[in-house]
Amino acid sequence: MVYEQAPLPYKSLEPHYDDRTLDVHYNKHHKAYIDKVNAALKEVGMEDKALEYVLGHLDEVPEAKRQFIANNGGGAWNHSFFWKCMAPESERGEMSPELRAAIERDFGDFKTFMTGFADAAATQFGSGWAWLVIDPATKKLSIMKTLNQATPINEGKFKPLLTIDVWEHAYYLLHMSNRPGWIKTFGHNLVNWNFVNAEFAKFQ
Amino acid sequence: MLSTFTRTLFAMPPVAYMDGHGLDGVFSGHQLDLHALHHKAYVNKLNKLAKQVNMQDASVEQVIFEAANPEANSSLAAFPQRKQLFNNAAQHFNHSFFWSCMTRNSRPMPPSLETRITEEFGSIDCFKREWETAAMQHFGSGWCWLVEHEGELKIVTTSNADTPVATLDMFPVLCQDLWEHAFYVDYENRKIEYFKKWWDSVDWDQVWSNVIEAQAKASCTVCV
Repeated sequence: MVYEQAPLPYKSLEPHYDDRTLDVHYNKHHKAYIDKVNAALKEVGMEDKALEYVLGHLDEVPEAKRQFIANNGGGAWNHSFFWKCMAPESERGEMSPELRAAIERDFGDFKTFMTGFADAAATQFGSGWAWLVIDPATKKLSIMKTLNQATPINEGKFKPLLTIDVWEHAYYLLHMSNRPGWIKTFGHNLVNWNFVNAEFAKFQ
Repeated sequence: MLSTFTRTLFAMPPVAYMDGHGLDGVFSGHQLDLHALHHKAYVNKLNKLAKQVNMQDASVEQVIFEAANPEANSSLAAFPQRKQLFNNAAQHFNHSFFWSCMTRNSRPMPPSLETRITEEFGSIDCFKREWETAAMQHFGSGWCWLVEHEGELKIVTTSNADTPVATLDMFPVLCQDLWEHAFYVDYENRKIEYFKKWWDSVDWDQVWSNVIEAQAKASCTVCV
């Protein structure tokens, strides 16, 4: 099956995410990953496998194409998840009581969680992502950061609940060198709590 | 009476073409101003970290080498922020080297460099296409380098802050910043445009000078 690029769930995220970046990020960066991974999966005869399966079983990909598929497949998947993690201000909702309780249990309080998430995002050197993940076996929440287009689903254990893109292309036109400014805007003005709540609920 | 002594601080070198007017259509003044902010941030962090391990008077190359090769400096091996020290030192070096490889009104390649590159890559065109391919294929942040290694000129890319000066036998002669912050304001996602346009700004005289210096260093390694 061809991995589809789902339409963006919104037309705009202004003023917190600029339209130009949204356009280039979705139509150029994300689209390129999608096209490349689909072509590569076909080349190695794995186009019948779901992308999530491939990313969790990269050892099944022929070695010659493994890194390429990890990179581009990761890029395709990570961005698809990322768009859903954001919403226009009026549609974001709030953290559910259940999620809040889990956050307080595993991080102490919401502020500590947000600080930890922001730190992970700020200290991922080079390009990458920061994540809130859950271990379905223990229900424990934790924060991760991944380099380039690596993704929590590579290891198979953790399931993502929230992510922020800290590749420079994600924020440079609006925030320039101010990655902490991007992270703060994301946390305060963009996170789609309705989506995060729903992802969390899947593992309860 | 206490003797006074001068603390050497790492600093971004002056760059003649960072006067707000841009660089020969390759980079706008705004792009360069923003890029300078990144370099200055690395330098600030380097100064803070180097002081903590008493390396504020060392050369940046020494900081890089010892941070990358902990067996060379045992107190550094135990430093919890050794990786951050490496990253900031390496990025300071890498950016300084990058600025030095470019110039306004660049002149054609000196014949000696042209000969050498043609010998190694077949033609100048082949060299440029090979460089552009390496740069395009590099994934994530990093740098593209022309290095003198074992008597040959080679194109290599490094990730994030990694740099040939962390080794004993690779000597950089040319580099290009592949981090998105280097080009995103002027080129957005159009990397190949950046790679093709960039040749207009390369200071080939400096590159040849780097080759001479690299050859001298390479032949000296046995003396270390």
